Amino acid sequence: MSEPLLEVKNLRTSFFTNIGEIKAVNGVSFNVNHGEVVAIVGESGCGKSVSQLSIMQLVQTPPGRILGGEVIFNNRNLLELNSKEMRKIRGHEISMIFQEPMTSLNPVFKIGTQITEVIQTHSKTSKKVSWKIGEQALADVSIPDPEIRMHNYPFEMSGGMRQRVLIAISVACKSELIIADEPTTALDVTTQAQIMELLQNIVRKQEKSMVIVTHNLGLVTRYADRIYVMYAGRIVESGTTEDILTDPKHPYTLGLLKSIPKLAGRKDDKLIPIEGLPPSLVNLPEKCAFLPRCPFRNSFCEKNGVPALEEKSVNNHYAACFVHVGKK
Amino acid sequence: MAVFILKRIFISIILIFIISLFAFSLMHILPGDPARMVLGEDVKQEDIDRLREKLNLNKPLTEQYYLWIKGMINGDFGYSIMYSRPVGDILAERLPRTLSIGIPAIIIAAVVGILLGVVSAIKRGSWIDQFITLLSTIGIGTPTFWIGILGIFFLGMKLKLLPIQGFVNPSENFLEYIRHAAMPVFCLAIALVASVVRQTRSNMLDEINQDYVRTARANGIKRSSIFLKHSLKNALIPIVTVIALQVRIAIGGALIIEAVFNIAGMGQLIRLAVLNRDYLIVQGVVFVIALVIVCLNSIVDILYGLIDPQIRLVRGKL
Amino acid sequence: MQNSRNHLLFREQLSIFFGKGSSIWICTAIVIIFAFTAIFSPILTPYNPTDISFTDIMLGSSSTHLLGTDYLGRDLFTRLLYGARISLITGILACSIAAIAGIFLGLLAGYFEGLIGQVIMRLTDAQLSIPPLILTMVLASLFGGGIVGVSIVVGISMVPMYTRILYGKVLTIKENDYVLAAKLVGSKNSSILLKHVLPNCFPSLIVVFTMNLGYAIMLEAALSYLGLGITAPTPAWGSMVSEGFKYLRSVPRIAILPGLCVLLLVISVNIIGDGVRDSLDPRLRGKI
Repeated sequence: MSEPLLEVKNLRTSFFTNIGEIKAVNGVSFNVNHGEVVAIVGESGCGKSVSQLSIMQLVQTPPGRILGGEVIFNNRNLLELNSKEMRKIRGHEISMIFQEPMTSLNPVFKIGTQITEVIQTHSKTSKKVSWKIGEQALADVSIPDPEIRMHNYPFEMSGGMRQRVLIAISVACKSELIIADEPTTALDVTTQAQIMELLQNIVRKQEKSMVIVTHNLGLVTRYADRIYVMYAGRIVESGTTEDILTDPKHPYTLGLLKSIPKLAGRKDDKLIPIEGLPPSLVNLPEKCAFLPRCPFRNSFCEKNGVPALEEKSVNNHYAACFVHVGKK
Repeated sequence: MAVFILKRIFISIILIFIISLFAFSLMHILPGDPARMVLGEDVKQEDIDRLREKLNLNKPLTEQYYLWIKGMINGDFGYSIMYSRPVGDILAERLPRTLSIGIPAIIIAAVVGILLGVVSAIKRGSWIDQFITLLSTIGIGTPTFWIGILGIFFLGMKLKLLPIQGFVNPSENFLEYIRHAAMPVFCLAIALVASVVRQTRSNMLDEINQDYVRTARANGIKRSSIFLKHSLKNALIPIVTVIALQVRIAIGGALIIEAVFNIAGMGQLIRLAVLNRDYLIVQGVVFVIALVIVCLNSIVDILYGLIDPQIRLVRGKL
Repeated sequence: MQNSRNHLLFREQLSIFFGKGSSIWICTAIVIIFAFTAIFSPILTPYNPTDISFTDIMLGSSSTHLLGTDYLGRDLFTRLLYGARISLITGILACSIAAIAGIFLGLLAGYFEGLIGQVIMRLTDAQLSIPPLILTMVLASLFGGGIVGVSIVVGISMVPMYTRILYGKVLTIKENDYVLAAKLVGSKNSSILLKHVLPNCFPSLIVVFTMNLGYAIMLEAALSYLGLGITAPTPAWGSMVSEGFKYLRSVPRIAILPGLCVLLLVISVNIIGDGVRDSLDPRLRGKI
């Protein structure tokens, strides 16, 4: 099991609009190994969601287009598959759950209908058997009274419960990889914790792998094995959770960690934001995109851009930065 | 569900009441004596008095209203000055003619419109979509009376394909009916189709962009399945509204078409009645038409309840 | 938390509007041409639209009569030009009347709800149950056949469109925190309505107005065609079509040309209305 389950190499996706080419994903590479939970963290608009949509080939085309790169999953390059083959993978080998559980289910069909529809798309089971599988899946995600719930409509359920239903669909289809795009952002804090615990349980128990995309670094420190930090369409730091938390090498990562409000801090501790605004993705510089906001910038960076992956990787802890910062 | 239906019926009754008040008041809004207005200027006073008696104009207003309503429930819509016949008879005679133009037009508009609208939405951005959108934009801006005139000119006069006016009952001679009704129905349908296409297209586009479509795609469901099962069922609700709206537009259009093609239907009737100030006809026609529309809207709302479970289960309280 | 700046900058709106390609340019040009002829008709033609001349009946097009004359010897081109005036003036006037009345009712109904809201909305629903052409026909006899009368009648028939849109918008806007803040500070209802609620309705209102203009022009033309709108001898395109019907076989242009003018004007106005809607608030697509 040394081969990664998912290997993304130099993925590039852009959106072509009438204000120019938006380079949403600008050379992104990351791996997911069997049985691990990988987090992709970054601000809104940094390209983390688009990169996952690109893997699933769900990018809105036009105006978007996947320009290049490879997505190797189970020894196949997903980007080379046609739509029919890709469809077989979606929901069956790779599942994706999204941010808005309130609107992600069709309001005019029962939950049971929607679950069985997915099951029957990917296997030749009968309606009856699929229904039973669906009930079991609801039970697996800790929804009480699953037999009754199968007959509910989405509006009869809370946001947290709907998200569980969406997770149940991926459980029912026994997919190897779950991509969770901000799965808890639209939920209240208590429910957030519940859903994260649930996801972690499912991953551990059923030996799946998971990619969590989020802007909430604090959330994933507990649940992720490895973290990738994205900024302006590129990965700027990657490493194990422990490495990143104890020894952040990129100034942006440091900024993110510092800006998390601490429960145990003093009352008059100020919040420390990262100065400046994220860059427009239309006119990206070829050199370091974080330069204007970086408190550690120097003339070396300004001339030499960003180090390549292989150059500065130590123990698989990589940072796209010449200035190494540790937690001060 | 029952509560929902009852609520809906209750609202309809209120609407019908308001409309009846409006229709009733038409005769009395204008200053002056209605009887005199109907009969004209140089008429003997005793004729006016006789008409006033006949039309119950000397009784208090509330009683007049009550008598009118009571009459209508019994099928008595009053007596037409213009035609010297009971209004009810005239209505019964003319309504089928209007319906035999209007109903085919609405059906054609619904079928063709939904079809083109769905195709246009699915193939958004392609040349088919642009073409259909162009046609529908032109269709909406085309004056119905003008299209009728054009049709008469080219198909009737120049090419002599179809008769330029008149009407034949379908029960008498079906082929002739088709020949005479083809142009009127077609001209009426143009504006209707255009608006159905537009509405359907934008509703389908909305539905296609919904999050649950993204979920379905992410779970590997076929595109065609998504369109036909998921999006269409959701889009059906506003589409049903649109079709109900078509009835309202179609009645106005039928009025014009009947004038252009000289068909003795309800449209012509009310037009002549307004011109000749035969208010009893006007009252009766307005009331009947509005009644039909209110009932139709109620049925549509009830249909909503069937299609959309949320409306049925949650908003039944309205 | 609603963001009241979720519309685009004016610059971006303009670029969306004109970015739609040549169709918008053509339509804007057409409307400007019509408006131009409407305003400057006396200068553009030496004739009066009502000048009858029994010697010049049914002439073909010539250097003195660009499009010929009609059955009363009136210059057709002149009548078309003056007809543009009628159509545009009644259209704009009708839309304005409808807007003022509809906005007023919609604001009241949406803001205060309760009994007033119910009454207004029920009346609106009742009006919507009567086909607009029938309503206008019936009311036309009350108001006479002048420009003002016809505009009022057409305007009345369009009031429900504004009332409904305003009602829906006000219901949503009411929930915003800035309205609550204004109330807490003690602002009067009228000032809240005028300063906070109404300005946020403007994008929708502008869209409705531009899209209704075409409808108003069509309605006036239809009424005139039926003899219940602008009365002779004032040249209205609709009545010109119905008068020209008698001569359709021999001199078709008398009936066909005015209708063509209606077609061009209404389509152009509609396309511009679509463009305005797309640049102001594409989310309204299909709702109006």
